[in-house]
Amino acid sequence: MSLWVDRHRPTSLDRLDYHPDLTHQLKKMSNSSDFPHMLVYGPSGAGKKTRIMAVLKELYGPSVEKLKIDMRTFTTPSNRKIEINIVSSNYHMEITPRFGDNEIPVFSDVGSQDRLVIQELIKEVAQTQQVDSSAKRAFKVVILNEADSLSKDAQHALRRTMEKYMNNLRVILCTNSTSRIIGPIRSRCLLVRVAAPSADEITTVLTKVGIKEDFSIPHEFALKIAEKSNGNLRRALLMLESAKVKQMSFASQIPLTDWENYISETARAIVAEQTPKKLQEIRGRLYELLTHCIAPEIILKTLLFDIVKLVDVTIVPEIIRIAADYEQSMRQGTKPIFHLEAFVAKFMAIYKRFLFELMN
Amino acid sequence: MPCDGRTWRTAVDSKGRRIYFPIKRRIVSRIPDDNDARKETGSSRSIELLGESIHVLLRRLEQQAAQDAEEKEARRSIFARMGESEGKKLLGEDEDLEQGAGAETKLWVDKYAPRMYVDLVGDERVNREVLTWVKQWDHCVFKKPIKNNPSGAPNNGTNGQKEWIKKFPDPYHRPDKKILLLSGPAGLGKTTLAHIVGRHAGYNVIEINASDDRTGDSLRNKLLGAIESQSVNTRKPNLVIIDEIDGASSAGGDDSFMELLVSLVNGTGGKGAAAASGDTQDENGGLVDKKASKKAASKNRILLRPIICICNDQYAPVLRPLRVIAQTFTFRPPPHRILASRLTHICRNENLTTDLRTLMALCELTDGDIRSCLNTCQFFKRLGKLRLNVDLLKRYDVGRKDMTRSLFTVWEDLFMILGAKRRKNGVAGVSGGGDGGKDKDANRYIHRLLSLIAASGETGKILEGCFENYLRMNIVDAWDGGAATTTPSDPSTRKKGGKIEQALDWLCFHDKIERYIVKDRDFELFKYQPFVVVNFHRLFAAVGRPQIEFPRGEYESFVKKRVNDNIVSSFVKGLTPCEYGTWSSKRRLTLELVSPFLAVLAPDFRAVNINLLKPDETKVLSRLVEVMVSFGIKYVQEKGEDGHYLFKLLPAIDKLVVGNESVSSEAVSFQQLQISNPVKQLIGNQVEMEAIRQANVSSKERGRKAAGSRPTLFKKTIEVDKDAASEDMTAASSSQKRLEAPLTQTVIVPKIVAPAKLETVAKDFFGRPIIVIDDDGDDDVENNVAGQHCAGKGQPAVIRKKSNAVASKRNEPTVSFRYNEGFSNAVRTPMKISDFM
Repeated sequence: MSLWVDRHRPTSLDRLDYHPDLTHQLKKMSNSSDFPHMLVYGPSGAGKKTRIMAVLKELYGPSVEKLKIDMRTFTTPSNRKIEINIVSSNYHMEITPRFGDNEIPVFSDVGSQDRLVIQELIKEVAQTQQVDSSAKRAFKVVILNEADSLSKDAQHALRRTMEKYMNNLRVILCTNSTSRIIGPIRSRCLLVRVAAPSADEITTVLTKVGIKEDFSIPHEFALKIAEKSNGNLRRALLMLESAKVKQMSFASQIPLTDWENYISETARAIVAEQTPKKLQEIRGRLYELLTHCIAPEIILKTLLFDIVKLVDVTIVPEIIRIAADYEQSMRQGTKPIFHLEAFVAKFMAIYKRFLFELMN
Repeated sequence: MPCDGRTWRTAVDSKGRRIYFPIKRRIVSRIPDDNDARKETGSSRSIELLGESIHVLLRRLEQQAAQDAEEKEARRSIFARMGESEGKKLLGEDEDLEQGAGAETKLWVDKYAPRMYVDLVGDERVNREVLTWVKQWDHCVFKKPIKNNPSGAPNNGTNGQKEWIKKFPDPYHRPDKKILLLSGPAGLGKTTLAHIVGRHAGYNVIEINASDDRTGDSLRNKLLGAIESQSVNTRKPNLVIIDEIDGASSAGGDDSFMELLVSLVNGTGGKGAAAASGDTQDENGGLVDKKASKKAASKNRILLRPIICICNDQYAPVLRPLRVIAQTFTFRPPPHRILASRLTHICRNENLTTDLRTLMALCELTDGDIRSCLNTCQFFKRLGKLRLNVDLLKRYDVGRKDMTRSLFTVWEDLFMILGAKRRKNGVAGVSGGGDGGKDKDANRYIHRLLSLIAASGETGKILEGCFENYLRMNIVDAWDGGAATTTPSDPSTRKKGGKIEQALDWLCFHDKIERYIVKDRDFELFKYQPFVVVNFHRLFAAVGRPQIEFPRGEYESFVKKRVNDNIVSSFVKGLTPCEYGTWSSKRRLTLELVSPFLAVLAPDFRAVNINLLKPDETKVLSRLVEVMVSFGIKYVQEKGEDGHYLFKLLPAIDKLVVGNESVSSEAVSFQQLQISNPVKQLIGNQVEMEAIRQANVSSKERGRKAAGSRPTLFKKTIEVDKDAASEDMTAASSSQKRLEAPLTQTVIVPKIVAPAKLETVAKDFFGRPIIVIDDDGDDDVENNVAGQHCAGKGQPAVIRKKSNAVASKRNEPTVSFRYNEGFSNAVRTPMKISDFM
């Protein structure tokens, strides 16, 4: 509970700052007798997790906040060991699938790993009854963070479990977008959308935190942060804290993160020069980003938005179209560098052609 | 008696009657062949038991026997001559008198294999050097001094010999390198050369073929048998040829075959006097067993016979130990002209009409592989073709080997246009050349590349090389397929895009295929992968020789990524449960947390003693310490390259910053970790203290079964701050007191101590300050002790002595700390941590 993000996180439904309608509904639902499976979705930093935890507190009382971390080891059929950290309390368990994302080493058991974890772990929870007789609810809750990074296999493995063990188990999936959740799962869940807070709401929260931390934030500065944070409250709070620690004058500019700077530099370089040599240089930069565990989709997306800011409006639709193409092919492949470079090369060609036509 | 003109046999039965048996003419069953037909039509109907008359058969047998004898005689004479002379020429090829095509049972390769040193076709220099090497063994094996001093010194008797010995101080007079390693592609005559040279030098050649027995153990038995025994038939010493040694397995660790070879060769190590005794007894065996009393005597064998090893790839990992100790010769294909002329000779001998151009083309096809050339010729002969020409070669598509080339050759071939020179006499020559066939040539070349890539079996690696190198090529109209010349709105150009785009699209295609193969185990798709690679030739091939670099980017990025992954996962492991919920996601961590977090970790901070901090600075410090403890981050001391001690973050999340080597000036960036070393040390100290305190508190709480959250020191202070502004001063002072309290009690003071508080600053031998604070201000007896204490640590030590009065009152010995080793395990006196708190 050290960073402001964590320290000033509202812990109960009553203390939530925005989306009062949603809060009201959640409250009603958690006090009623039938609590459904939930699929909570929304942009990151909107407060999905906060709301989930608040709902849990509403369901089970404050003892749900006594957390512990377990290390669990699974052995795949191919004898590989997967280690997973699980945060759990007496009433719930939280899993973050960090094994199913796009960077798959070649010839590993793609997909079968997270399916295994889902099957073993969730069934284990589902098949045991609630031991604590003083518990308010008969069921336990399993929270799956980043559910969209679960493979299709794992999601299918979840389907039957969700129905069969309804007595013992509720699943709360937490994801950025529902598009990568398969239909059967979506239809089994109550979809809860947590929209990103508006700039005003973020400003309010920032001011509140400032009061709690015993300093006052100028309104303009708070607005600036809110704007930069793109509706991501978590980022806004981190920005605020770092600005405070660095004792920045509140009039100064808000720094971006390192990788965002790096990508926008890259974008500028791409727009400035379109030669094979430059492409080679860009490749080095892309590698640098990839090695720092920045997801390739995010690289592509950020790069696209940075480029779009710099070029003429007429070619923007085409650029966005090719970006979408390459994002799709990136998901179908294993080596993101090919697709990223292909995107850059394609853009260079388009831009070069555009300049050429402009001259004639 | 019937009288119908037939002949009769008569007999009389028991009743006296006479019976007449007509004699039937015997009908000989014969295969109706041409001969018979002729005979049938002829008037003489002789009765034959055999198809041919016995006389004919006998005559033929005689002929054959004579022929055999002749052949044998010829061979014997060759051998006889071979033993005595080196210089006499003898052609081995035309000794075989058999001319009939149908009765041919021998492969031409064997039939026309060179039998004498002078018959060899290959590189004369290599041949000569191999022979020289074998001859160097003469002194050791045949006990005759080497006549031919390669250094060119006068070889008059003892003088030359002495020099030789001086040059090679080997007690057995063996050559410098005791094993010969011949390497080169298949079919160049390595084995043949080894055999011929061995025989030529007067050895009994024993070949151990690794193809049969590839395990180390069985090879070893064979080898030892061959070296140690002596042939009964001939009195010649043995020479061992180990063929295809790269096929020997490297398994078995120290017992492997390679190890045996190496130990055999190095068996000379550190003997000396024992050598002389050993020298006398190598009459029968090639190996001398040292009769030392050592247990390992049987293992300590000394090699006294030459060994020639033959391999295809001298860089095979198995051969690594051998390559160091062996004399290595690399075979190159003989010049095509020479090879072709030899082939012409053979073809003429075999009644196969051909011309030099065809044979040159054949040589080119097979890359100078003699065996393959001969086999191809024989194949055509057997087909009944009497004329061998280029068209035939083309039609039958034979003689081409399934070649495994090195990756660099493949890349070079890929990025190089089929050069003019090669077109003239190369592969294109086979396809008939001509201007009209240019496209055809290119197609053929692409097919050849395809098979080359498929044969190499490393499509992925080749593609990686293409990816890393293609941008270095000289690319003409890289972006649009000549949009400058054609109309820009040309839809086909648009669609296909420029060369680079095309190449990258192919790469993406390859990547997708790869994914399908991996994911769905659809290995059928593997066969499409070479086509992707060939496109690089289509798009980027240039005339000049390309500068190819080995692809490293992929691997480097993989390694870097793994390092960063490890940092992330160790960071996640250190999180407390509360933070874990928020930051366990790798994506979120790298995207959102890292840079602001590093900014939080690096506050503006003065490097002064903790006791001198202003209240608000104490607050910053306590906050920072709290953050670091809850994220499980600490500073660890590491010795830098220049010997200074540096404090580094552990886990090193500062390494996760993207592009930290090239931060451009214009971008507004967080100021990251620009705090000085002493401050880091100070912070690190406090972090460890706090961690210990928390552990202590929580264990105590557990003992008391206290409910609620653990009250940490700093939380309290901050809560106090929050609650009442009026109490601010007291809160600050209390927090300061708390920070101070452990310091005074636990005798640990960080490096920076306010000079005002010091009474004496002594420096030890290494120039580090020894600070002794004497509360009572009396003598510094422990000064020396302190110096010794910290001498080994490389850290400034601060000893604060307790007052004598207190010490005597408690009746406790002085407590000294080793400073940087943590706080618990260096306590010399058993004390509880809680005493310090």
